[in-house]
Amino acid sequence: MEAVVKQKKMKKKGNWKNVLRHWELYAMMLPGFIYLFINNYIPMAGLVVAFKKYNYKDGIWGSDWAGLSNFKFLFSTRDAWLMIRNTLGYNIVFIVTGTVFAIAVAIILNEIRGTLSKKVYQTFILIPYLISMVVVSYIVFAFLSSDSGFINKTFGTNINWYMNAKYWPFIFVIVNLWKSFGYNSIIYYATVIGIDTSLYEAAVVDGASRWQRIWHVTLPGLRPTIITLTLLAIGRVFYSDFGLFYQVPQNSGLLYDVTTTIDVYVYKGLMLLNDVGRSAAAGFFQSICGFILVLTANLVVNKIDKDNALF
Amino acid sequence: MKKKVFAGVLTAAMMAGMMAPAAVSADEMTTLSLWIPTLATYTDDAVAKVEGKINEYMGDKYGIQVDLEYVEIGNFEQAVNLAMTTDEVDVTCYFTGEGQLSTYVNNGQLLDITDYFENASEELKNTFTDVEIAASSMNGRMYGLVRKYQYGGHAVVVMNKDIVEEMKIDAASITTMDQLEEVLYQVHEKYPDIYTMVPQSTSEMTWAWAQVCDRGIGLTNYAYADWGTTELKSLFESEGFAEFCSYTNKWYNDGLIMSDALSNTMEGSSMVTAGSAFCCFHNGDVEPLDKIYPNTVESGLFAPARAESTGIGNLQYGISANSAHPEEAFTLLGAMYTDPEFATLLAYGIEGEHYVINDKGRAEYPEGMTAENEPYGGFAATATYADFLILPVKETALYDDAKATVEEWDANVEVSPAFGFFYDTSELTDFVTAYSNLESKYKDALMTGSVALDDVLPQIKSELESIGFYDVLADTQAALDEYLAN
Repeated sequence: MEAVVKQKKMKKKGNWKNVLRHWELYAMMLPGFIYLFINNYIPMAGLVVAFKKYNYKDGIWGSDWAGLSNFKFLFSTRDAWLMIRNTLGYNIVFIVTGTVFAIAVAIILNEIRGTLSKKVYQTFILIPYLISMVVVSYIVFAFLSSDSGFINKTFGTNINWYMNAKYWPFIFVIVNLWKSFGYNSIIYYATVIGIDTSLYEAAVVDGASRWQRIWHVTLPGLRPTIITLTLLAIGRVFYSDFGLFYQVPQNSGLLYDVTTTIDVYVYKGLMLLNDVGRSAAAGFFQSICGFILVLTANLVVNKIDKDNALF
Repeated sequence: MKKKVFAGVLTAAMMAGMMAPAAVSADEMTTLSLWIPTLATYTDDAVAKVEGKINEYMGDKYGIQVDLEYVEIGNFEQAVNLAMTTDEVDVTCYFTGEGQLSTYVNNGQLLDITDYFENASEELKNTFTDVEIAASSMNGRMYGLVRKYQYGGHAVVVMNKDIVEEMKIDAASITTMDQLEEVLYQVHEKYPDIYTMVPQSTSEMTWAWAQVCDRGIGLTNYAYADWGTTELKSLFESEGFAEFCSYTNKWYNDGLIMSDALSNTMEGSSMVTAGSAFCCFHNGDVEPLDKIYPNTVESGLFAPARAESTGIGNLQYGISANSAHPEEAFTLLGAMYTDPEFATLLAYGIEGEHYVINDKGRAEYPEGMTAENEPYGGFAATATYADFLILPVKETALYDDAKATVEEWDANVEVSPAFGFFYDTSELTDFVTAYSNLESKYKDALMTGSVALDDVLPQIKSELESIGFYDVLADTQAALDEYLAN
C-alpha cells in the first residue's frame, strides 16, 4: 500500500517536472485553453435555463425550477413526430448524398491534370458554400416562381412550387447538395492528394484500370476521412439548417409538413412566446442526442475498425 | 500666525467647496436607453446629432440622458426580447396587436407601472382614456402606455391612380367585394400583364382584420368572433373569413390575384405605386393613404372604423422589468406623452435640419429634402412614436387639429364588445404554439385564395380537434360569457 502511494506521489512530481521542463509549450497552449474555457465551457452553466421557467426579471438563477416541462414542449403536440421525422430524415439523406457526391467530385478533381483549370473548378464549387441562405432563397425563387421562374418559363409548365409539398424534399436535397458539396469535396480532395503516389504506380504496374485504382487505392485511402466526417455529421443529426427550411421555402404555410424541423419549430415558438427556457431545452435535447449518437457510432466503428475510430 | 490664518482660510474654503451642491455633469446623470422601432432609413450620424440635442434638453429639464436605440421594425421584437434579458433596455416600444401583452407580462419582461402612474402628474393621467388604460393593463395592473393614435382602423383598397384615371373608375364608390370584383375583371381584361390584385404585405392578403372578423379576443391569438358578436369560433369557421376567402379563391383561380402570393416578399402598396399591380387591400386611418403612397387612389370603406379586441393600443411603450433605473425611466416615459418639445425632437429631429415649420405653422421637409434623403427618418415614419397628437401637424395632413380629429374618430369607432376581456393563456403555451403553427399553415393560403376553404376545412377541423382547440375555446367562451354577464 505504502509503495502504491509513493508511486503515485512520484508520478505527480513527474507530471509537474514535465510541465516545468516544457513550460514554453504549455504557455503557448494557455491562450487557446483560456479561449475555450471562456467561450465553450463557462456558457455550459447556462444549460440550467432548460430546466427553469425563465422569468426576465428574476434572471437565470432567480427563476423558478420547471423540471422537465420545457422538454415536454417538443413532444406534447402532433407536430412532435413531424419535426423529428423531418429533422432526422433530411439529415440522413444529406449525409449519404453529400458524402457520395463530395467524394465523386474529389476524385474527379484529382483526375484533372491542368493546374489552372483545377483551381478554377475548386473555386467555383466552393462559392455556393459561402453564399448566405437568404441569398440562396432568392436564387431558388428565381428558378421556382410560378409567374416568372426559370423552370416554368423554360419548360412551359405551370407548377406552383410553393404550394406543393411533394416537390420540396427533392428541392431541399438538391439545394443542400449544391451548397455544401464544394466544401466537403475539398476536404476529401486534400486527403486524395495525400495518398502515397507509389500505391498508384504499383497499381499501374499491376495493370489496374482507372476504375480499379479508384476502387482499390483512392477509396480505401479516403476511409478515415469518410468515417471522421460522417461521425461529426451524425453528431449534428438532430440539428437542421434553419435558413434552408425556413428561408428557402419562403415560410410557405402549405409546405409546413415537409419544412417543419426542430429548429424551425423552436424558432416559431420562441418568436411567439419569447420563451428562452424552451429554446434552451430544445438545444440541450439536440446536443445530448447528438452526443449519444456520436458515442454509439464511434463504438460501432471501434468494433469494426479500431484504427479509424475517433476515440 | 499669518501662515496659520491662511491655512485656516484655505481649509474653510475647501470644506465649503466640498459641501456646496455641485452642478451635475452629463457624465453623472442617469443614462436611459430608449428602444424605438422604425420603418424609415436613418444614418448613425443623424441619430447621434438628435440624441445630442435631446440630451441637452433632457439634462437641463429632467436631469437624465437618453441613449436612442433604433431598430428596423421587422427585427424589433427579436432584438428587444434579447436585450430585455439584461439591463440594456430601460424604456421600450412593444407590439400587442397579436395579444403579446400577456406574453410580456407572463414572462416578467415589463415593469408594473401602476403605482408610478397613480402618482404621476394629472397631465399625464388625463392623457389616457379608460379604454386606453385597460388596453395596457392585465389583471388590474398597468404595464405600459398606449401610443396616442386613433383606435383601430377601417378597411380600404389602394388602387393605381394611372389605371383608375385611364379607365375612369369611380374609386370612392367601391365599398363591397362585389363592386370590387366587377372592377378587377375589367382591369384584368385591359391590363393582363400586370397583377390585378396583390397581398397587402408579403403573403398577408390584408391587415384590415376588422373587415374580416374580430380577432385576438381576450388577448389570445386563437379566439375569433364574427364582427359584433361574442360567439367565439376558430378563424376558419367564422362567416366573415369564409365569405372573404370565397371571393379571393375565385379571383385567384381566374388569375386576378398574383399566383406567387404565398411566396411574395414585397409590399403590396409598393407594387401598386410602381404600376406592377392594380390594387391591394389596406388598413386605413386618419391619414389618407394616397398621401403616403404616391400614384395611388383609395377606395371607399369596405369596413367602417372598427377596433378589434387587440386593435386598441396595438403599439405601446413600457419599462423593462430589468431596468436599473425604473423611476427615471418613468420620467422619460411620461415626457414622451407630456413634453411636446421633447416628443417633437424625438419624432421629427432637429428643426431646420430634418424638418421645418412653414408659414402655416405646419411641419414639412426642408427644401430639397424628401423621405428618401432626410437622414434622421423620424418625419417619414412618425407612426411608431409614443404620442402622435402633441407633434406639430404635418403639411400633408387633411386636418388642422390632430387631437380633435383623433378624438372624433375614437368617438365614432365601433369597439369590439369583447374589448377589455382578458383570458390567461400562461398555462396554455404548448397549445398556443401548436395553434399558431396550424393557423399560419393555412391562413395565408386561404386568404390569398390559393386554396379553397371547402377543400381543406375538414382537415383543418381534424387538426384543431387533435390539438385540443375546441376544449380551450369552450373554456375561453365560458370566461367571456361570465365577463360579459358581469
